[in-house]
Amino acid sequence: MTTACIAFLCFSLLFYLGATVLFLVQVLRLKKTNLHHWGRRGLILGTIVNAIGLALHFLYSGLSPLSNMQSLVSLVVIVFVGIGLAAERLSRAPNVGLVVAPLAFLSMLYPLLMPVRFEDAHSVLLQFPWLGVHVLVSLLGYVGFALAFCAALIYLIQMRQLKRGQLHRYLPALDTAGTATFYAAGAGFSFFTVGLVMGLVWLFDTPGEFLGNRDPKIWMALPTWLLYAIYLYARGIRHQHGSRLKWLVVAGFVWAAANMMGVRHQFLD
Amino acid sequence: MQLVTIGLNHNTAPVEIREQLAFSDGRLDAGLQALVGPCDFLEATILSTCNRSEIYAVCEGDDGGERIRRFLAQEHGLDIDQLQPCLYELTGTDVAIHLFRVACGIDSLVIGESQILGQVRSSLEAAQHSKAAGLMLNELFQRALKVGKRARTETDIGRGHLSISTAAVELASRIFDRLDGKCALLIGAGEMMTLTAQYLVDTGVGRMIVANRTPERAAELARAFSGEALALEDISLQMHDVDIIISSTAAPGFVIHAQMIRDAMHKRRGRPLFMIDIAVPRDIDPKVRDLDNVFLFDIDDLEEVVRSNRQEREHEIGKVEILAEQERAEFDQWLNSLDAGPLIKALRDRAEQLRLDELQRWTTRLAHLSEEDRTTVESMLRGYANKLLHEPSVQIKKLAGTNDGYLQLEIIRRVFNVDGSEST
Repeated sequence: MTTACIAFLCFSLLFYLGATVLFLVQVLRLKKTNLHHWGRRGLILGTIVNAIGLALHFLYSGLSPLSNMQSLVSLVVIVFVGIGLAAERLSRAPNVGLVVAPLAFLSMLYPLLMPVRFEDAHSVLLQFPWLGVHVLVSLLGYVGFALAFCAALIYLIQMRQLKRGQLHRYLPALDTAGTATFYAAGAGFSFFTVGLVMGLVWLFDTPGEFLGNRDPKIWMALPTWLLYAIYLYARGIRHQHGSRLKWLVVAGFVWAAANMMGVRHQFLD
Repeated sequence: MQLVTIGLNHNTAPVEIREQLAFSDGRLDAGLQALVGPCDFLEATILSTCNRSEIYAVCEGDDGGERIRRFLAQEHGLDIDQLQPCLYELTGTDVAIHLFRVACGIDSLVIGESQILGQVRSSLEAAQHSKAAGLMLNELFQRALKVGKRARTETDIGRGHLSISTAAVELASRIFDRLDGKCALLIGAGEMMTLTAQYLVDTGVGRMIVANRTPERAAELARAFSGEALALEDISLQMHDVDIIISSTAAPGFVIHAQMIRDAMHKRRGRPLFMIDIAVPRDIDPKVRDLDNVFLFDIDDLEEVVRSNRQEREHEIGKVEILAEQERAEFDQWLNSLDAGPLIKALRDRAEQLRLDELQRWTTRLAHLSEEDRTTVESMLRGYANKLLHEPSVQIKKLAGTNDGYLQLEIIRRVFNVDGSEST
């Protein structure tokens, strides 16, 4: 990545951090202001700067966003924040950014602090366009999971406030957060499943050529799929509600994020 | 010309005096006619609510306050000395800032209440209908309505509910995004419960079930809310079907036990249940708070919500004061701009008089001129005067709109020794 691209990504990181602080101050009511408006502007600016950084990366190197961790995460964050802001506008709930902003910040921070190059993966990707679609669809799955995580977290915060007899008007109604969790998790699960199946089909098609049968990233993806499958079955088919199911969504996302950022494919020599 | 207001409100007068000075709808028009008729005010409006009676007037001279006092005493058959301690008098732009504060709701008994804005509008409409409102009061009241709306949209002065009944509905809206299609169970009776139920109906709750120890009372309440009556012993049968429970019975022990709710939640598959217990002693076992997705609020919780809302509104007063002060400054500028017209007219009159005087003085020497040449000379002088005064007129209008416009205009008046203080 060029220095200019890195600089843009760092600037977007600062915007996300600023937005996080503004949303936190607003929600904790340290000061009674309309800080969430500025937080939203920070998120939008951060996303624009992020997109410019990504475009520069493509223009200078000619490499796709899948060529390294920074640009890959940037792409995911742009899509994630975009959907988050659209959801906020549609639901008219002012503080969706409260969870979107810190998640965007942490996602961007990780690859900048721990740059991971995956030339091996990139060279394999160039050979198999099928894999490019697999990565893209899987990433959309992760975006859905991230949005479901945000909505579930808002649900749990709002529930805690109401249990204490406190009223937090800057968070959406419990029902709204619950419904948003379900739809986001449903969409994420659909993409993730397609991505997972595509990955497995490729793996069985090229046995032992690139990845071994015990590749950790593949096996680590299965618990995520299972956790979301349980959640969607309980909520969509059994019509179950309640906080325990939201914790399932939170756990599923934490696992998925750990897998996405912390585990690498082990390519065979 | 003077802008003056005389009035009383909940801070200055007891209810016995306030109710005597209130202007009912029937008396309002007659009062306005009297003010702009026999009392000789140029303009007048009357703002009469349950907590205040105020007369806003524009008059010549500076005895407007005294004349309004006499009018009030006469109109309501009261002794002027008895009224005197309860009345406040404001003049000039103090009237404006007072009305702006009133319209914003920060001078109200319930801070930030929105009813006052409608009352200010009605007051202006009544004065317009009686042809008692002129240029100045129209401008003043329109600005009051504007700043009142700004206060409610740009600050949180009108946010949150300040009564127990409405706070309960506000809490419900934090749990359910829509109340239509929800089912509410009312247990018992009582004024507060009836009020809360009424607010729920107003916000669109789909189905109402009323349970009471006395079946007749249950049927009566059910009719009032277009709901269904239920025997108190049968509430557990319906519990899984309701989303909102409001309880207010005089029962000595719990009417709703934790096990009852546990069973209901099992059947509801964990859907949120919102419960309000406004009975003392309590009707609902507080252990239900430990159940997932059950939200119980008792009378203390609701009072805490109301107290917190009131505190938040009080925090907003400072912001609203700034808005009112900004509007006062703009109104002040507008008032000053009214002074510009008479001053410009006085300057032009002075120039015209000088032109005529000069023509008169030169009549003998210009006698040899033909009629056509004389007309040309006259036109030349008029054109000269007009061109000379054009730029000063523009500048006077600009200066009048500045913060210290009044002072600047006064200097110009003195420099040219003209009296342009008459209002248009």
